[in-house]
Amino acid sequence: MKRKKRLHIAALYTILVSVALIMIFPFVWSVTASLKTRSQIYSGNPLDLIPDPATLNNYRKALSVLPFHRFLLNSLVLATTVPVISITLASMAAYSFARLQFKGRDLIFMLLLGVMMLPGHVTLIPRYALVRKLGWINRYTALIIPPIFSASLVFNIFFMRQHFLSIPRELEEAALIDGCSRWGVWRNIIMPNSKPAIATIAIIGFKTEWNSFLWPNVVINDFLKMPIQVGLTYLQTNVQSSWDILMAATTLSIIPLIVIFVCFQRYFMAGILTSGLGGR
Amino acid sequence: MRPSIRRTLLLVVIFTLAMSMCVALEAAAKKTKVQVISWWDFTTSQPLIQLKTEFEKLNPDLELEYLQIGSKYADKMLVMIAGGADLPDAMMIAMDKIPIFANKGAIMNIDRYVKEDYKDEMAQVYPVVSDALTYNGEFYAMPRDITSKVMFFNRTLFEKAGVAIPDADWTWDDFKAIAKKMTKDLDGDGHADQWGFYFRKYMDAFTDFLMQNNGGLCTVEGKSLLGMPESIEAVKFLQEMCVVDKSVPTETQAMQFGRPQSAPFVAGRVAMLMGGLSTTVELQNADIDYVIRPLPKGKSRVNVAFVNAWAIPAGAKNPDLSWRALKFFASKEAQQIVLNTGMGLPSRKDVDTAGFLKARPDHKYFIEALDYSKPFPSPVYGVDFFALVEKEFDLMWLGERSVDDAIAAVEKEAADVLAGKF
Amino acid sequence: MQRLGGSARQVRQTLTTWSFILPSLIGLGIFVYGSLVYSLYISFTSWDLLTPARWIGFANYARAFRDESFIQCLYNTVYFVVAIVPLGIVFAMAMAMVLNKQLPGIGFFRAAYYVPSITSTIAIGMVWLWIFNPDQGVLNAILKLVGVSNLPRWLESRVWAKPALSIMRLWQVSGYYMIMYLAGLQNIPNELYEAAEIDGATGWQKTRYITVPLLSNTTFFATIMLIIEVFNLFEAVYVMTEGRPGGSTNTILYYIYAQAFQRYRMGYASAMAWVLFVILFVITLVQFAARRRKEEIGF
Repeated sequence: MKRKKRLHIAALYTILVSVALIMIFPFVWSVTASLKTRSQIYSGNPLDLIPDPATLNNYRKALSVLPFHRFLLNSLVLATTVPVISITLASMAAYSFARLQFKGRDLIFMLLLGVMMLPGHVTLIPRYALVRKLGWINRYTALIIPPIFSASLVFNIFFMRQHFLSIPRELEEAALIDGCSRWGVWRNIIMPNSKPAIATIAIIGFKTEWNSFLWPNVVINDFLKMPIQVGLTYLQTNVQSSWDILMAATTLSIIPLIVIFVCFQRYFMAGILTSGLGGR
Repeated sequence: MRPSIRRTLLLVVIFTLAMSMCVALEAAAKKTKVQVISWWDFTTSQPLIQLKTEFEKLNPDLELEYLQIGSKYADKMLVMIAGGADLPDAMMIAMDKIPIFANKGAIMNIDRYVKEDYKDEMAQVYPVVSDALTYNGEFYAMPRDITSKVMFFNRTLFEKAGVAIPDADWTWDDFKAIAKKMTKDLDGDGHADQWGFYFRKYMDAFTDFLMQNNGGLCTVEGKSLLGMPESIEAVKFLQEMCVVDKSVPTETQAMQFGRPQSAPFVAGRVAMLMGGLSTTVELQNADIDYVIRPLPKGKSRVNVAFVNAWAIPAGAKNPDLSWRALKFFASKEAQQIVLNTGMGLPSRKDVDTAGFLKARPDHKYFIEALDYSKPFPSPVYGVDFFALVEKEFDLMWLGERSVDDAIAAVEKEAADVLAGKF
Repeated sequence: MQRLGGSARQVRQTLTTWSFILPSLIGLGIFVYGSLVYSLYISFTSWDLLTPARWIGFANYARAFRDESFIQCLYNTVYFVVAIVPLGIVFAMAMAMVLNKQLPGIGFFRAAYYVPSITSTIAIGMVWLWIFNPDQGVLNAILKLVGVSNLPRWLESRVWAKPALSIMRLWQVSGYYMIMYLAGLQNIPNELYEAAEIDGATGWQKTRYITVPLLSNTTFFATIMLIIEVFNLFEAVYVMTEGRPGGSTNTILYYIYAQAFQRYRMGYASAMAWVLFVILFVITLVQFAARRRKEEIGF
């Protein structure tokens, strides 16, 4: 019996390790390829993972062919501002849905939930036309404002509302009696009590914006304003970039998110578990 | 929230602030800026760098600033002009895009400027240029350069294979035979990993062959010529090289070495490549030992020339300023730089070619090619027609569809597409 | 006086309430609901961005169903749904069952399985492009090593391009749904398994009669989400194939993008976007209806 159990565990680990290898392989491959010389990539055995000789030259080139540092910075700005503004707006709206009474509240809430059912591509063209009319093409405003007002804002409202409903009313009632305004309650009591929830949706938001491509690709033309995913596709078609350089660039674009994932893993997981309904 | 998270967030905020400061500082301008957009990488492109220096020397009050759109340039430009905001003062434009841009009102009619301010210089410009840059008889663009094509040979590969580089009067048959000889399976796995010839399956990369065979792609007025027996024969000739001889790598195989058409040649995996003068710069940068010959001779000697150009996007803030840039690009000084840096062949006869011919004797094939160059056909709805051809030819180049079938499919829709019926 | 004061307070209260909610409402009103109406309008016009839009009624919709490329995209999308959704669900569920065991190092494995789904498709698509390369790629090198003689040409072949994209997407999305299943598994009370063991149930029977049925809720949502995700396949096509060869990997969203932003046919693209929207909406409704029916007959 014991031997059977040990065999069982060994089998489990074999499966676990082999699947893990498949899952991780493309990452390992992109890192090692980025350290290889061009001739090794083109002429070497593709199964030979070890760079020989190892070189950082590809990274140097990737950073010089296009303003790659700007791509990274633009993405960082995009992936922080959009979630910060979205979460702020969502928490405000969520607070009124959770605690305040007003006419049409439930109707408005239902209308908002409908947005989550809406696939983003339906609004791509009108949004583009709108942004064009506003004169925002090729500006940071186009990059940041429209993505704030999308299904993820509604998801954030929904998520924060659920969370606020779980905060005991007594906490804020005392403050209200003391003459604290609704805004004061929101800022000083509700928000500080929601940090894990905020962290969860902030992380999801960061990931979504860091990886966003279609919208920025459509509204931004200028290299200096491009986020990383768009920049990568431009690097792909650049005359001077061959696969060695491209792999260095790809690695650079993936690493920040993996670092953040490793640091905040628990929020990532929490994010998925709660976004099951989120339709994202 | 744990302190470490707070610290991380703080760092992110500081980073973001610092970043916005940088952007704000960069925006602080000095001289009047003339923004010029192109699909070329201005940080490394010698022609663009030298043109900027010369322009600023001749126009001390102005500063030339380049912008770049690296891929899908024309699409992005049209959308950007339609978008209206922050338009550059001048734009590079491929010749085949001039009719559609002019037709949609996306570039300015500059006929008035040309007639008033470039009248005398017009006598120096090759006639093919003015044909290419007018739409309905009026000027919409100024010449950047002329691209007439030649064939490049990788000398190292030819020496290694012991194959002789042909003379200038080589023919289609020679070409096909050499391509076959230069195709090799180096690692012995049963698949070729060195090829004789590569051409990107875009119109402008194979229209030469159609016209050399007395066929053609289409007329400027918008009539498809693909159905001509001569055109069909030429496409069959190319398809046979791709599918039967396998002396041309597929797009996937070529893409191993990067996206640009020259990439497999630069990587030393393709022995012959068709290209213009700008290709020489790429090859020199990559340290390739190459030899130049004219294109192989078909039924007639034809070379499809591309006249790339500069135009003013409709809605540019200051057309007079834009014109100063355009006039400069078409000036003798600028066209000399164009030739000297290998950007392209000059659009004017008064440019000094002595140094160019002295640098490499085989450069003479470029100048000779100008004599038998015909402009690339660019009807108004050329973009749609070329998209149709590319779509229908896609499987044909892979050998999964016959030439007759693919061309018949194009011909079925060609008339409607070329008439702009959608 | 008192009434006045009361109403002033009421007004202030109303103002406070709305000040919380208006910024979101205005933004969503313009960029979502406004856009939706605008999109519907555009879909009835012929508009190239440069010349004014012209009303042409249902012509764009009629065209969509005559357009061979669009029909091909629909077919391709159905293919991808059939190839990706069932396998994705099975993989995710199986992986979750294994990862639900309390074994040393399980945290690492969970993270490793999940990482692909946080990575951008654009970036990792470029890596897969290289993996699928028929001559220099890793995949064919491995296949050759295990003795496959007739190596597939993957993205270059009309037959293999769709499986290649499906493999890549399966690799990328399974981890996400695995985590959903992991959560579902943790909600299944242990007593059920204990009771089954007393009755002498085998491991397979426990999975078949306890685990899978009790995960049906998760499966339901995962299926809907995965179908929507497959219908929106775009970025992988953009970096890896651009719809080639011969349109065999073209998807609806990629086709919409190309028509709108490469051919400037805003009206036609909007009409196709609406067709896609309606299809997705109907699929979701049917699934909800089917579920309700299943619950009525007591599963």
